Amino acid sequence: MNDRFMCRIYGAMLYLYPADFRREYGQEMVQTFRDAYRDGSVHWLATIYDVSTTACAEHLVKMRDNMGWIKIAQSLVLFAAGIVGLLVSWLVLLIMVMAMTEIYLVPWDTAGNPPPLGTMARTVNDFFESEPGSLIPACLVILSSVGFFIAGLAQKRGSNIIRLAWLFGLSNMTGIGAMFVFSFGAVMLNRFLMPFPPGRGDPGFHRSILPAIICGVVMWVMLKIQKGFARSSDNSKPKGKLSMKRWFDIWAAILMLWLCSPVIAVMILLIKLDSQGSALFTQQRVGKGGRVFRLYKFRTMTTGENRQVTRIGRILRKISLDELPQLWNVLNGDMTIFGPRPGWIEAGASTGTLMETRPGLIWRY
Amino acid sequence: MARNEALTPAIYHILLALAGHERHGYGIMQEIARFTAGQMRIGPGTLYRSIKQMLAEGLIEEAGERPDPAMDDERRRYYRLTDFGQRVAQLETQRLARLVAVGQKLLGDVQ
Repeated sequence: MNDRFMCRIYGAMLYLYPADFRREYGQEMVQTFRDAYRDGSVHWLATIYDVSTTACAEHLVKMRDNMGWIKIAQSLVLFAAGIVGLLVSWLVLLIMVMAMTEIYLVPWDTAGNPPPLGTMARTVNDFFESEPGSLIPACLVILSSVGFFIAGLAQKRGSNIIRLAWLFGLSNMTGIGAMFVFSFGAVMLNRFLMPFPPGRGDPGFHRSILPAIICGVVMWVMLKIQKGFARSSDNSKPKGKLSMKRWFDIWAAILMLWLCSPVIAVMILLIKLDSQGSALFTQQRVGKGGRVFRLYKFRTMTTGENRQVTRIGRILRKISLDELPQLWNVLNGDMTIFGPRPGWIEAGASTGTLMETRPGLIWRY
Repeated sequence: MARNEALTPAIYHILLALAGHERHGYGIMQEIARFTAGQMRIGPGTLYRSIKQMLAEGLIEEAGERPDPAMDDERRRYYRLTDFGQRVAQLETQRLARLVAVGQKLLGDVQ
């Protein structure tokens, strides 16, 4: 690998450090790393270890001074829960996609009968019906409620990485929750409305009642979360009462964030590697009632004096994926899914219909 | 920070590397690798974290910023020992020497 590429990776890794430390020593650290890499005195794996451990130490010292050990422990647990939840949800997503494609790749027979379940789908099906498998949803619900409890304690303040973990944890926990509500809905329909499959016998107590209990708990947790986001909803309604549109926005945004989380992670990595600067770009836009809010986008241009569209940026703009972070604006209540695009301040957008309605993510011009 | 603790190995090595010479970051890394015959290597992360801490504790100070003639013409920040740093390095060396003496007495001559 050439040293310029390695320096770029190293430079991106320095974002693990607090901003003031990075500003003061970042340049020198990259220079030092490049010299060491060129004469081969430090192995790059050792450097990765070095950067991550010292960055952790730096953060710990900063956090200890700012928040104290209890809050640190809370945020670490939260962060771990977020990462674990993310990995689990990606795995479940992968399994589901594999199982589903296997079903639909097999054609229906000429008599019009559906194809039998493939081996993959059957394995997945059997697993969720088995003794340990049926407990997984309950465990996930418990994990997610604990996660949200801690999230509430740890507040949304703190470093970016905690906020990101909170967001990831939230989106994938609720995503899993929603998924299991749907799948258990299907299971229950199957159990109570359809005749039992021949040879299976009685499904037993826990198979028939447990899903209902879990469904209830999941729904309760989901409603709790939803109330948390009701804050910036329609002003004319009391807190906690949502319009159908806002209700749709919240769940569409959470589900889309969850489904897109692998894409978002890859995007952040690519943008960081492609050019220097933050992966996100923020801009002041005009929202409902002329209120100014902060709009999030992926950064598509270089920072600094003469701005250019980056390589990744060109692709992102073409397929409009640079607007993906605006799902957070939707969740926040600044925007909605379908609505006119938010106006720029410079263009004097604070007039006309844009003031009366919430700006949206998708709009037909 | 002012606790009754031994110096970390990284800080002690940086103090030694700066004894009698002003050096920049990479120079410190090279010097440490040289006098320990490659046994102790410090990565850039550890180095700059230690440097920040040592600056705050007054063990070293910045000796200005200038290009390194041996490298490209990039500007490098140079560091040197303060009198306090010099004293701390001497005391730590004495402490370690006493420790080695005790070790040799108890274990027999390990040379």
